[in-house]
Amino acid sequence: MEDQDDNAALLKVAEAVSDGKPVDWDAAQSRHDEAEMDLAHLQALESVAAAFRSARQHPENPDNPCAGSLGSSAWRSGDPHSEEPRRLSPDNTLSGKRKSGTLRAGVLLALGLSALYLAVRWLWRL
Amino acid sequence: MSPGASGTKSSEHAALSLESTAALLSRVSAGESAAREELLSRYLLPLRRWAHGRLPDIARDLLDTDDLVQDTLLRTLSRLQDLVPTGDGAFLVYLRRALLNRIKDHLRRLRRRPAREPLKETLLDEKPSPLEIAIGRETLAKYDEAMQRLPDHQQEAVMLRVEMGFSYEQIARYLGCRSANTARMTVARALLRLATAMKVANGRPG
Repeated sequence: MEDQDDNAALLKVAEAVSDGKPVDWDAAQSRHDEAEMDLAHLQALESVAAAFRSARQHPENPDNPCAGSLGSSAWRSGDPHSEEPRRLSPDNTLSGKRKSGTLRAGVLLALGLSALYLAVRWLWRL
Repeated sequence: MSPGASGTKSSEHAALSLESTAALLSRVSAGESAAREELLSRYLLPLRRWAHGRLPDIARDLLDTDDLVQDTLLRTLSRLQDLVPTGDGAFLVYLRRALLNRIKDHLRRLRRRPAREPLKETLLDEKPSPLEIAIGRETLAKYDEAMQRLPDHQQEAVMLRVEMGFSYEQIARYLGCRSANTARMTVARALLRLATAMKVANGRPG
């Protein structure tokens, strides 16, 4: 019976760790002497969970509202399911080619116009 | 596309978003692209956040974490039948291991490459990731080791809640639990088992 109570109490502590709620470790330890090691491990997990939470708020993280360079604003809101992720589409890879193609066409047009201008001037001299 | 068709498509997506990850995976294996899209939208962004915590700032400047995550996820989905063993939680557990291995590989490669910027390489060797800064390299290594000792479905529960920060409602949906409360208990039990597996060497950590 006592074991079951202990287990239920440890589960409550584990729930608090999972929810990021504060745990009074000294009080828990004094109530459950025999579960000292389990509590010590849970306390280590509390710091791990807190670290993961804080890493999600890291300045470079797309989750962080202050993130500057990573993705669109839609990628930075808190709920991962409130927004659509970037889909893979042919446009993603084509956009770069389209830009360089436009540039190449512009250069060719300029060269063509220069050649035409020089030809007209040469003919006019004759 | 007609409004009716668009409505059908969005209601199909809404229905898929309620499905468990295991159910979606079997649809992906059967070649359903909508299920594949749903899985991508479910896990891509949370996995990116997760990977950001695992990499030192300097390494993030040198490699594209987002591409690394996207590539790993797409590769896993395209080789689902060969790579992912059957069983609850196996998909996320596999993805987690694959990502950790790829991150380690990239860091090793960055350290080895010819020194164009020697200062950065030195920093790469010494600079810890945000997670290592917060809890220390040793504790994180112990945690990762202990995670691998848990059954897949418990690893998945810890990953979804502790590492990715999903709500219990979402976890219940993804794990196929009856309710958010069941998901809460699943996570708590997994954490207890993880605590036992961690075997913190010097008793209570300071």
